[in-house]
Amino acid sequence: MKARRWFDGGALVALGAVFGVAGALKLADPVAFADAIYRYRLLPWGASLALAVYLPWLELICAVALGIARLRRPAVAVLAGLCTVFLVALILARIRGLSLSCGCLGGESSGSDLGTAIVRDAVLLALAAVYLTSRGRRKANQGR
Amino acid sequence: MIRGVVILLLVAVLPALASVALRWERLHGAEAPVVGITYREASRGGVLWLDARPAEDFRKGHVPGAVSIAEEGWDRTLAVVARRWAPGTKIVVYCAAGCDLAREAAVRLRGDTGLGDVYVLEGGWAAATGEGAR
Repeated sequence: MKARRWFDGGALVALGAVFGVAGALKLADPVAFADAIYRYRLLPWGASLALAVYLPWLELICAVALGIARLRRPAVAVLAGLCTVFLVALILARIRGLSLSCGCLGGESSGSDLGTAIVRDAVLLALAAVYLTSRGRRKANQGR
Repeated sequence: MIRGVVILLLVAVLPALASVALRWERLHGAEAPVVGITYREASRGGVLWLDARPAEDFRKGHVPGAVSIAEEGWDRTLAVVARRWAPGTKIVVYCAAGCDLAREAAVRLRGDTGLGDVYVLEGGWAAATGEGAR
């Protein structure tokens, strides 16, 4: 039980730190982030720009919401969704042989190479998924 | 939980709209970057190659079917693009590795034609020869 609590706390800190920092850095230059999104060649320029304006705020707000008890699970769920989307985009880029850095922190040249970014996103997704399922199970047990 | 998710998704819209209003000039004027493409990916599906190297380099060897911008001149290159381009066709510009001519030509071509699928070959001519183009 205690170990579980430590795990949950660690997962929240990791998710909050990564998405809080990433969101704040991307906010500084949305055009550079749009550039990074566009280079994945999954979205047209207009959609890349719209996402580049919206996503950093979503990441930042979710990172803050992790500190609010009522919004904690929804925030983890949203971040898990984001991790899934990022992971799919990264894997597709890898399969298509695109040579780009992940753009995880904004500009095209920012962030790590695709392989590192895939591993990091997979770890974050796993943390979020374990947190959500353990919380869900605990709630269901309390309800019995 | 779904209600919480929806709330978070909607709350993020407000500051995003505010930042669009604050940075409208910069966002409105931002143009899509010219994206690099590998030879292998470019060769999948329809592709129109444009060679941005000097004419004599083009005569020594080029990607099969490529059009030399230096030999044709800009206006005739545009005419060739207009004639050979079809929906789904990628236009890939290349020059020697590390040269900026391809990127400049790609930006100019996109501006003049309004076409979106204009790319620069990553690694330039050296990458193309490495993949067997001559």
